Amino acid sequence: MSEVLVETKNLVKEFKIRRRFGGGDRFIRAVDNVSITLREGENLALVGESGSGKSTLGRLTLGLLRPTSGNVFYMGKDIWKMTKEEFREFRRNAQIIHQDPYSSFNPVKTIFYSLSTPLLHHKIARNKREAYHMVADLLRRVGLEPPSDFMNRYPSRMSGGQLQRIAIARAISLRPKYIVADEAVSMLDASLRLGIIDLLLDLQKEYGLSYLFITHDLGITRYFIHKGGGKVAVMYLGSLVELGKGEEVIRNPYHPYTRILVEASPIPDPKMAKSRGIPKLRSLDIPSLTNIPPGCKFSSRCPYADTICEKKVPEYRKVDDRLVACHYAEQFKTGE
Amino acid sequence: MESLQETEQSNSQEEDEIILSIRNLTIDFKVPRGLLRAVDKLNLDVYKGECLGIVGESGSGKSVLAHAILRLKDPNEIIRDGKILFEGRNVFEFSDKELREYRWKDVSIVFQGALTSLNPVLRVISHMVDTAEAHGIRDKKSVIKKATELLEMVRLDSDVVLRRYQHELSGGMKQRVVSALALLLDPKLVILDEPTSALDMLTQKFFVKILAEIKRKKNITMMFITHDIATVAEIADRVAVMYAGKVIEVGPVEEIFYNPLHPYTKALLNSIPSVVGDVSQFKPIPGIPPDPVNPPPGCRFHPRCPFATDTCSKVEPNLEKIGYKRWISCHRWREINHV
Ligand SMILES: Nc1ncnc2c1ncn2[C@@H]1O[C@H](COP(=O)(O)OP(=O)(O)OP(=O)(O)O)[C@@H](O)[C@H]1O
Ligand code: SF4
Ligand SMILES: [Mg+2]
Repeated sequence: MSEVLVETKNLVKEFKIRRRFGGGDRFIRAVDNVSITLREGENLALVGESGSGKSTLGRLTLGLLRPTSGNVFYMGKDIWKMTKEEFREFRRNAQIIHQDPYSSFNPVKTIFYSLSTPLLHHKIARNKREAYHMVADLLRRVGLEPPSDFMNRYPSRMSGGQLQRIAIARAISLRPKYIVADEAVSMLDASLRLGIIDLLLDLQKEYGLSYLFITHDLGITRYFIHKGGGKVAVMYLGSLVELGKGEEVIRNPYHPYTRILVEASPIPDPKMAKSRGIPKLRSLDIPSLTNIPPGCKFSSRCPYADTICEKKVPEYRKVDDRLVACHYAEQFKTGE
Repeated sequence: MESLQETEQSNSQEEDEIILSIRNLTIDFKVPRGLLRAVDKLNLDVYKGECLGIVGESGSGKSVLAHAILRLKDPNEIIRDGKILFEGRNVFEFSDKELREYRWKDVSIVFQGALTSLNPVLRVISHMVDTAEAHGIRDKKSVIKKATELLEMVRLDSDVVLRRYQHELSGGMKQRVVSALALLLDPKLVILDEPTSALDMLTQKFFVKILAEIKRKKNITMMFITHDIATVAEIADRVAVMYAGKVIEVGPVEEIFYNPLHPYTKALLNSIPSVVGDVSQFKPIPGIPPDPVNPPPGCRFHPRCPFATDTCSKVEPNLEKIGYKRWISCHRWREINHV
């Protein structure tokens, strides 16, 4: 088995929020005791509704946020105990691709400028000419040909799909080992999404990258994991509720929350879609992070919750080779 | 256009049920780069009582079309050609008074991004009363009664919600309030522009079910606009697929999903992986969506179409009627589908 590349242990991130009418500070827990591992060349897809803490977890693993407690390890080293030099090296190796390509580029700089600056800064290119050839190679690599057509363009003169390819080119330009793709295809047209995923997976083969692939779309998750392999982690209100290998997690979920997400995903089949009812939920609205239910966090919405669920926080149970945070995980596995 | 008129006559019983008819609608925008063609010789019929799903990628002209139906014009907008007939009357020829009656009473709209469209300093109840008043209905009691009924219908507790301000409502609640507001004056046609896109997954599903229920109960006509083709499977009776400002295929929902005929519709359905079925069949559509300032000649889809011929790159295909409430715009649809 390959080496562990990125690992989090009991990771917690709290944010301070101000009360509207004074009365002291309050904290919300955006990431709550999350432990994940990602091996070299492997993938982890992170799914959940908006506000479940996916992006915060992603940013923590990149060292962009400091954890409240718990640790992030990169190649076995706690990133917050690294020397300056080590940390800089880690940051070069860990890159991110954002959801909105337009807001992740400087609108008044050309594509060439945006791509060549990091190359020159990290001395991967020794001069502008070398940088030009490297940028051209990168553009070709992400399917933008001829590269000269794109070099002097401004971000606003590119389509969303093209600019996302440039964002990928920038992310791989420093030859990183780890990339967080945070809803990297969500804003793109449906017809372009799979092309971007295919590109990410081709680059993975070529450079041995590891991805933390964040998305709210279970269909997209299936495609990604089916083609690229890896694990699927489901988050709810800052906690990991289910973690397992491959698209089986979506095909056959054990946690009631994962199940409901699957049931709520639109299916492009009118007969099937029309025959499916409204997912059985005790409450439709996701609780706010300032008002998390005691016991199992999902108990306020879970159709199967009982008094135990409302009182006792479920431990992770190992069902087959899956981790499931539900008191009744075994029963759900066999179909109640 | 010839084929269009010809077949229309031979199907007069279908025409009887038409509530909205759009012919040759062409809309440009003045943009710094030149002229942007947002809607391009678009033809579409909406039948009474149906839910018509309108799907297309970002920029395909869905919102511009929706706004045109209500005659909401942007300063940079130029209507080049075409007509929009509502119950046989040309919307572009309405007087101001007719237009006031038409908006909201005949046709109402829930705008894209409606989650931010409620006035923050007004309670929900004031929104309801004001909307009615703007259309000459001053009987406050009956408006509130109607509002209560509609809020209950979208599964909101009217006692609580009527007194709330926008910031006191969750996204899903807001979307339901805005929809109830759109139904307040019993319009014949409701246009919903991306009503679910800003909602989280579970709320989306719930909202679509509620809309389907309303449609059934009130027998109103709906246009459900979305970029997410899978969502319309659940609610639409028919689906119109848009590409580059044109409708390129229309048909009953099951036809569109189980037997798509247009290469773009086929490719689009193949590019959206879902939680069911074989995931290995899915693949992206090559190339990029057309630039509306410089659209490709001929069939707008030809640069991305695996079936394109020389003709496709030169001659624009017409929207041809090929069956019951079914239209297609492709030179080669017969060969491709072995018809
Ligand atoms: N006020 C405007 N000025 C200039 N161009 C406009 C204006 N409104 C729309 N457009 C352009 O018209 C075309 C069609 O836009 P429209 O908003 O109808 O697309 P859409 O299908 O609704 O897309 P989305 O799925 O992103 O909502 C686009 O190219 C858009 O940029
Ligand atoms: S007209 Fe030609 S290019 Fe257009 S969809 Fe049909 S086959 Fe493809
Ligand atoms: Mg729109």
